[in-house]
Amino acid sequence: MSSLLVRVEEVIGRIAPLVAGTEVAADLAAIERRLREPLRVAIAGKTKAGKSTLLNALVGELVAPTGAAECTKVVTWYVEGQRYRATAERIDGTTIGVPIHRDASGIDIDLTAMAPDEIERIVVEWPSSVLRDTTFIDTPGIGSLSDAGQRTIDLLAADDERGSPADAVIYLTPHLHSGDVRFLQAFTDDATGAATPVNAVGVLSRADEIGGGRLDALQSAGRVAERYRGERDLRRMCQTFVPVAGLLAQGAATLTDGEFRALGRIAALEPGSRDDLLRSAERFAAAEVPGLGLLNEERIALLHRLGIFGVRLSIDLLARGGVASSGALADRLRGSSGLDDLRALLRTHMGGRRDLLKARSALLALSDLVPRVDRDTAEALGNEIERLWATAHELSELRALLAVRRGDTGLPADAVEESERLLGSSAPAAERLRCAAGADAVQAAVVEAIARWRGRAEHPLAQPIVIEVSQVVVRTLEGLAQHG
Amino acid sequence: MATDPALELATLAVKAMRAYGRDDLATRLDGARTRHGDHRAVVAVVGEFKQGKSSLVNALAGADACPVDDDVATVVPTVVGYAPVATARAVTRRGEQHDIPVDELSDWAAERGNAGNIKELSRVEIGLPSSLLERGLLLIDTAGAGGLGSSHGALTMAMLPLVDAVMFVSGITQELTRPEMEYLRAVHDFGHPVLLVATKVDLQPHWRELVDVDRAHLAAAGLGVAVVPVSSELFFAAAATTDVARGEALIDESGVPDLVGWLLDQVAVTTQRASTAGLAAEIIDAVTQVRGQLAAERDGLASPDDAVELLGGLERAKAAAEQARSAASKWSQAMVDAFGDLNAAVDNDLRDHLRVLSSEMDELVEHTDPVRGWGAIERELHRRAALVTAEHCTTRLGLISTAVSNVDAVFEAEHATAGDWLGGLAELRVALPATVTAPTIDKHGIFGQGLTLIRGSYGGLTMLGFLGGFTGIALATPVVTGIGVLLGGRGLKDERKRLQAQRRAQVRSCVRKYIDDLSIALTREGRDTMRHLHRAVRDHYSTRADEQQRSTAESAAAARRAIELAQSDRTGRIADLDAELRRVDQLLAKAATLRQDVA
Repeated sequence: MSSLLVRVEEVIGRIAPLVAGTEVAADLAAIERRLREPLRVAIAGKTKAGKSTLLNALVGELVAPTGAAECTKVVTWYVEGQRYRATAERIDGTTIGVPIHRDASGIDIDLTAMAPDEIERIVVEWPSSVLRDTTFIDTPGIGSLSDAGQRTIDLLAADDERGSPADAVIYLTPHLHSGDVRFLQAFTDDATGAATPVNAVGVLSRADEIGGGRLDALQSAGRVAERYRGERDLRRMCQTFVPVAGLLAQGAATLTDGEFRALGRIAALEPGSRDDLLRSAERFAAAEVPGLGLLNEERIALLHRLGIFGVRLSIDLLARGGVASSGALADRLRGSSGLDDLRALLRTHMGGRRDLLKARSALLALSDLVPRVDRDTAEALGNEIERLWATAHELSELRALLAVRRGDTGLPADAVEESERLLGSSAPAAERLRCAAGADAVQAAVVEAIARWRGRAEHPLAQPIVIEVSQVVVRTLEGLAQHG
Repeated sequence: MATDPALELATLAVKAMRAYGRDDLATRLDGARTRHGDHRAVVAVVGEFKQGKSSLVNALAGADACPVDDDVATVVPTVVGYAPVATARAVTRRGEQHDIPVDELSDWAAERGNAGNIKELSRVEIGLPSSLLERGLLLIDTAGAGGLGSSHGALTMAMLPLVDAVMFVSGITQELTRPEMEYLRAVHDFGHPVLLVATKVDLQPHWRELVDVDRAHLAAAGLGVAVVPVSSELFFAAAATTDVARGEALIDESGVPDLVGWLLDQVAVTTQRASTAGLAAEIIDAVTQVRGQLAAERDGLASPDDAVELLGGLERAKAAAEQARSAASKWSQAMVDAFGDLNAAVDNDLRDHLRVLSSEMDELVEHTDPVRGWGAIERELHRRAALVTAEHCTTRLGLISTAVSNVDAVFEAEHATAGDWLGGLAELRVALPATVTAPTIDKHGIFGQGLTLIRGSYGGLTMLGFLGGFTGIALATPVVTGIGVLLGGRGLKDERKRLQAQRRAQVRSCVRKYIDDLSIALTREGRDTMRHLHRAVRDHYSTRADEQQRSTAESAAAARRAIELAQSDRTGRIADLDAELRRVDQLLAKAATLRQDVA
């Protein structure tokens, strides 16, 4: 556990005796417990954005039910457990076991026995190494016609000053035009208070549907994501955007040998009739192809699992040759789906800052307790929180980063880019400074950068916020000089 | 294309008018004939962003006319019509026209070369040698950028009064959404023929079920909207294949032929008919005036005893027509009043709309942190401003149309004496050859030209140029002042609140400035429109008043000639006139048949 988390624990340790026996004690214990738990990542976005599908892809198993209709009506937590089990927590605090059915086509969480609006959340325990490091929170779509979306808003409703059950957020957005009012609404619905440029990444979902299912669909999706990255208003909410073809990623993660063989048969057809078959989804599902030996149901199943784009891509890969096994095909498909990029992004932006994000969540949660305790405790707690924010350099970095990314500082673009590289990152010094590796080069780069940022901080006309940010950057640079 | 019988008849009628020395009527008919010949059924292609509108237009036109891209959207409406060779030109908001190479269209019509419409175009026009377009269709590919709920959507709505039919494009990858249904309802209620084109069926194995679902949605909403499933991709694949049988199968599967069928049967033919009916009514009106003149003379010759009485009536009609021509006439008085009221009503409507916009925006600013939500406020302002402009223009259209029909009613009432005399002569006094029945004058048909006037005055097309930033009105960005959130959280809360209030005030004044500019621009545009409309309406009715006056005067003169003519010359003249009348009646009968055929 990092020194920052230890300091947060110490604060909790000092406050605990003051609130012992009050109703706040349990909440305080929960905050402490949460420090040691895996990072909680909420997956949010509009209805039918593909949240559950992406979750399945990230976990690598069919853990969340997906379907054509609105599927996720209750906030569902996926945590690591010894066995497959689901529990519903009711609003009144009681819990009840929920039957789950698993088969080859996925999972079904049977909620028929209860009304969704009585349930606070469902916790699904699942033995999975992915869930050991990360707890995923699947949310009902914002903007859903049922009031399930309100749950998501409640769950995420938090800003700089309020706690949230989630430590980080993955935002899914469909392909929208930047002039579309819904484009920003997807982020500025009240829910997004929780999304700040330090804890949220954006995913352009259903990327395979963008280019009309053509083989170059994902290149197009890449261009769309790049446009999103350039949107100033979005950068206030999300650090970056990547396109992900969720269905393809899910299909790749769970591809079976049977599916591989079926795709191989189609790939082996002569090119003319193969092209005819792939021309439209309906042809693929229903056309008569002599000697193919695949039932229509099997072909429909393939379409459901991979989508028309996934099918076209698989057959293109197989027909070109060099893909010998279902494992090899799955790797190629996953590579195309953009899932690897998303994983890398989650590693650097979330995994790499786990302790920082945890500490931030804990401090925000502690702030929520202030109005609920007696006056003396409130003052003590307030001082502790204030001191931590003020003295822990990591937290200062986080806040500086927030200010920079939101565009509050008015710094020029190159300075913004440099500060984003330097602040709150755990990458090697040379990479952060963008200089050659080696102690001497780093030292020289640090000295140069410090002079520049000190100049910004000491400029007589500098805005207070620029001074503060510059001072934080200088301290970060000093740290780099000491520790490399 | 077969020659249009209506055009032939009109040509004949123009010749006849000239022969009878009525160049004024000939000029009017010639104008009507040209309008009919140039008539195009205008079909708007509307729908959300990325539903395949441009692809569809390309499939229909049989060429890569509209730029298609996976991400960038059409930003300027693209009008596609027939031309013997492919041509393209861009029309700016100021009305300048630039010829552009056909293969550089995406630099003009799409975001790629013209993001946010920085080139300030009002539209791009493309002419293509397509047999479908040659049948009298004009397709408008509307800008999907921003979606139906955005400023573009509002402007697309504002275009409705200018079009004859609407193809609503929605990808079949999902069911109709709520905004789509609302939009469809609005279009449907407007009264145009609407077709839901379900595109991208090649991507959806279960598109048949989804089409049924959409049909059920439409039926449940009580909208009589037909659905045609289409795949532009399959159509293009057919064009690319060399195998004839395979190509034909693909074309059938693409659904494009069904769409073409709808366009021809429901749109091209219907609007062609309406145009033909209008032309027939114009012919009947003009020919009837000449007939009155001939009939007056013949009556005078045939029954000299009644001639004096006849002449008296004609003199009265002539006097009435002369009175109606002068500045003191009732209709010109009515026009002055109508336009005075109209201007006031239009101004009031604009002011009301802007007041509502202003208070809504204040409300919005009050509930948004301007630094975090400035982009949202800006977009919302543009969107609502576009909506307000669209609503205002639609209301204005309604007001204009009421005003013009008031003037029309007064005009018709005032000319009833003259009109009845002329019409009455045609119907009652003369014994008609048994095979011909004289048609009655249909006043409604004449009003068609009034509608054309109104259409021309409608700001919709101008508004299409208003994309994004309204006619160059810029929205100032408030200065962002830094906030001291960085070090030492709680103590700075008050400071933050103060800064927030300050920023709100800034944003509010930016918004107010924008609305003021909008108000000035719309008022100016409205005044110009009204001036032009006023002039056009005045010219239209005074020309008609002149015609009526001349018809009555000539009829009176003819009757007087008849009375004065020597008995010996009468018989021959009557025979001549009967022959002329028979010719004129044949013309009238043909026009009547034409109108009956298309009714």
